[in-house]
Amino acid sequence: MKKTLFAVMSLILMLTTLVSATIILYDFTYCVEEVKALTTAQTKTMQQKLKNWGYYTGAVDGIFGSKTRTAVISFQKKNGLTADGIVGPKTLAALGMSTSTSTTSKNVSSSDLTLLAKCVYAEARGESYVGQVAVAAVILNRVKSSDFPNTISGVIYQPWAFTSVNDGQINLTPNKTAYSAAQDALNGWDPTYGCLYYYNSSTATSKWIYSRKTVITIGKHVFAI
Amino acid sequence: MKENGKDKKQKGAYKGAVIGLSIATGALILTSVGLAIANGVSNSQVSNFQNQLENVYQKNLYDLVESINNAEIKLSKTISSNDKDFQSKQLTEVVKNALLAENSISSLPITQNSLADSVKFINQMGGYSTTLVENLQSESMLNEKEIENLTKIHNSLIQIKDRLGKYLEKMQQGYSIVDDSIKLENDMNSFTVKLSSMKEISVDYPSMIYDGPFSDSENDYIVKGLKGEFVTKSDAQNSVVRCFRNIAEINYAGEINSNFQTYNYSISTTDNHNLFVQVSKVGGHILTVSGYNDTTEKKISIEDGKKIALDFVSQNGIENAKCVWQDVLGNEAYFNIAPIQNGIILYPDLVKVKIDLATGMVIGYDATSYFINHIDRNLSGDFESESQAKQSLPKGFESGEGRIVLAPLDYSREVVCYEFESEKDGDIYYFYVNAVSNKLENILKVIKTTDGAKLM
Repeated sequence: MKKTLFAVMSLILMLTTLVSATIILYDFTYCVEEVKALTTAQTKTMQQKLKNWGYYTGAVDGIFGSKTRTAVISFQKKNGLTADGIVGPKTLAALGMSTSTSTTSKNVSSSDLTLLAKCVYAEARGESYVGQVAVAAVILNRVKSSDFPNTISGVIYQPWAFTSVNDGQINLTPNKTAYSAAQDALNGWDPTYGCLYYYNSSTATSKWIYSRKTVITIGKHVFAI
Repeated sequence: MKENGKDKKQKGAYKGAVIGLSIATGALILTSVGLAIANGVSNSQVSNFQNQLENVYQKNLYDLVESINNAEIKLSKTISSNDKDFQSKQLTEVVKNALLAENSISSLPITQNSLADSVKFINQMGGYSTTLVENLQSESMLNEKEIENLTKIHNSLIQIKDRLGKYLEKMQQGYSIVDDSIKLENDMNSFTVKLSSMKEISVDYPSMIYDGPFSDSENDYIVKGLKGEFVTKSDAQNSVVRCFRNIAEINYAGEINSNFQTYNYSISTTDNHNLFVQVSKVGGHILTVSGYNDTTEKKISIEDGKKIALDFVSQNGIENAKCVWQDVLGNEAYFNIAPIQNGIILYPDLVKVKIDLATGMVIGYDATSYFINHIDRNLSGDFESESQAKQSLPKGFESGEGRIVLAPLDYSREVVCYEFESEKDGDIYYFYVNAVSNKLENILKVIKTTDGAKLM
């Protein structure tokens, strides 16, 4: 009997560890994502080089089309590289082009995006995707407005501005949806058309907020100007 | 024997109970002492934290007072001067102090609604001064109207300065900002009330109309590009149905009557996308689409994605456009698409499209800039040749073929420029050279981040 109990307990323990490990791994995989595509200028430089060396016959236009890909593959074959048409660090080095090791062009994490995603997650993780974009847009509209601080951190950490900052939920790790919503808002998406405020009509305590003109209600949040 | 045994058993049980009770009491005492000690420590910690917070608040108040005082002095010097260079130097200092003051005031525990006027005043003081510094580059000195405006701002600043001075005095006599700020009732506390009385002494905030940062005119934009008749709710719904294949369900999700008037719809598709679509009441154009994709599977190439994006844009009535910027984040590809007029790329009318690379579906769309800015522009002019413009590039920067664009500059200016892309030390820059005057108007730098590229 005791043995069975012990076995069951061990199994539960193992399962819990496994599940939490999977969750951590899952979190990790979508946070770390690097963009490896070449920029137009890099593609142009590469095309010029491949053209000079006789691999490429097309236009030096910065567009990585099929001709460029074919040229890259033949260059790779000639240089003993994996001929997959993908310009990775090895191919770049063989082309004599700078990879991102230069001191001035290190890949930096975008702190603005992360902070915005944290606030979106803390404030609106239960909302639909558009509801999350709208919250991010309000924060960015505040940055632009003369009535509010002029930086994303200034707006988010303004005392009493967001309940989730007051109670520490801002420190939770945002999920991929929150990142995506923050990214869209940074790219200019604003489904609220310039709103500066939002509130949850069932929990808002400030009477003052009701005096603002409502523009749109998304989920539990009323967005106002 | 049996009885004896029972006695022993009873005695044993009694003994056990006594021992158990003693252990329990001991444990309880230990726990209480432990808790008391722990509580004592945490109380002193709390008090430490409170002191630290109070210090941060007090420092911010001192900084605020100093920045306001500095700005007031620099402004009075500006008004008293008749020298362009001196005025420009003083105004630059006003800009700096306005920034510092804004930073300090927004770090104090004051609710937004009670101090919005003061924050706005400080921001606009900085914004107006920035604009004047720029104007001074082409003017001989500040004109009468500008001096008059600065005098009004100066008068308001003196009132704010006096009020803050009195408040600072109070704090120096032992008043605690933290103690007060915790007692928040109905969105106000006595700290807020005291500081916001700056508002009650009717500080005469001048209305600052200028084309620059934080100006009032910035919020009142006009939607210039929306044309057509008002459409009904069902017409708008038909527009949505025409644009998206595989709609499994479509629901009306309210309307907006703001600068833009829209009907909103939430749709779900058979391939499990949930999208939120806004359609303009005027003309029934799709304005925005919001959605996202969390799969990791890529089936569509970026080139195909671009084609889908361009088709979607043209299907929505935005013709003769080309993709000017693209970026891939995870499994979503972003395309910036700009209309072309007389071979000139119209950046102010930029449309943004996001494509899901797993299904090739449009999951993001933003045409609001297009509809705000798009008008028939007169873009014919005597433009310099591209090779001439290229000579305006700074030393050390080389560029291939440029392109001619309409660039939005400052706050209300649209200028036809040659755009040159150049790489230096692994960094990429975009240069904008005025196509008429050959003047270098702007430089953008591509900032590479782990989350894609941005232009600064």
